[in-house]
Amino acid sequence: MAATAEQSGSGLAIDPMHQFQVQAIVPINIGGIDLSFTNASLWMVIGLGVIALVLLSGPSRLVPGRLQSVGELAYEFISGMMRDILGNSGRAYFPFVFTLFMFVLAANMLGMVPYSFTVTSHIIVTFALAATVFVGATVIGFIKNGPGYLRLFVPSGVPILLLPLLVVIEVISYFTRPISLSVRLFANMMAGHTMLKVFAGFVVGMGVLGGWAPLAMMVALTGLEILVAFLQAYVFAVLTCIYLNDALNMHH
Amino acid sequence: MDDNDARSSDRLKGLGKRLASAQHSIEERDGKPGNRGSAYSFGFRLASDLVVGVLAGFFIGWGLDRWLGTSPAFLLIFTPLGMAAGIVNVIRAATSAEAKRHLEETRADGVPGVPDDEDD
Repeated sequence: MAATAEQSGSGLAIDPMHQFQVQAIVPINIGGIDLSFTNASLWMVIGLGVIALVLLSGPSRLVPGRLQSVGELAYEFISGMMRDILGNSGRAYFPFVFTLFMFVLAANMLGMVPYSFTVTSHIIVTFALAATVFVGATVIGFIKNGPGYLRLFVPSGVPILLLPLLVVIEVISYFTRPISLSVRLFANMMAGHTMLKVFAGFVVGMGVLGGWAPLAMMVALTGLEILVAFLQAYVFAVLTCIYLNDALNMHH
Repeated sequence: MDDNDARSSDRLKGLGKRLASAQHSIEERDGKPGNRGSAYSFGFRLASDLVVGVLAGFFIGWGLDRWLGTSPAFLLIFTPLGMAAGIVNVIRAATSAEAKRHLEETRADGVPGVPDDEDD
């Protein structure tokens, strides 16, 4: 974000989308497939590093230190949320949901660091996560319920004439799940970061006299973005649980 | 004597009510961090569900048309279906949220379905 300062030596020549560019750091090309280690990959690795630092820092003590408290807080937060939505049947899926939540949260929060790269502002990343959830939940649904899982698409208590129409609508609604899951996270992160950059451009463009108003706005927006970063990670985890719930406890 | 009893029981009732509302506001303050934030995210969730439904319908129809060369038949069929799917998603999410809120309210008050908006 602070990169605006150096780019805008001449008036308002600021490119708010520059921050989203994926650049190769270590170019790797195997069999015509671009496998370069990019800035996106770098920030994913940093995200994993931060999570490892929080969760694995030192031996766990009876009286937790700071990092251990953060880890325990996150654990209890997600485990409580899963108990609310899934009941006891969801215990087995806790590692998956917790990993997703921590990864998205770390990626979102690291995106708030100036000069960093926001991994989750790319729809292909969020879509890959959402597609994993979608395929996983569907497979689990068929394993647990057999072909009976298809009853999810048949609403009960509906006149027979309307049924074909409603089944089509249900199927479309089912397949929009991964799209809305990924678009929501991506759009929030991308819009927020673009907005921050645009306001940063105003600060520079309006100079010492007028720049204070957008600067104050930026402070407020930064707070909002941190809230959004947390909320979107939470929403991602909640919706994953809701989809798992459809697969595990089928009763409509 | 009788009058006194009635008054004290009235006061007890009033005290109970005030206690409940105080408890409620404390729970609201401490128990649910980012209440307004979660309302924001819930609103955004509903909006994106609706938009994605329409878009998905549009692109399914458009893709089928391109594949089968029947433009614009499937586009016209699937766009309304996508809208309907989006609305179904929104209604479902809102209903389950409403049910959850109702459940929490009844659990907190012990009286089903009594709105307690007097003090806030």
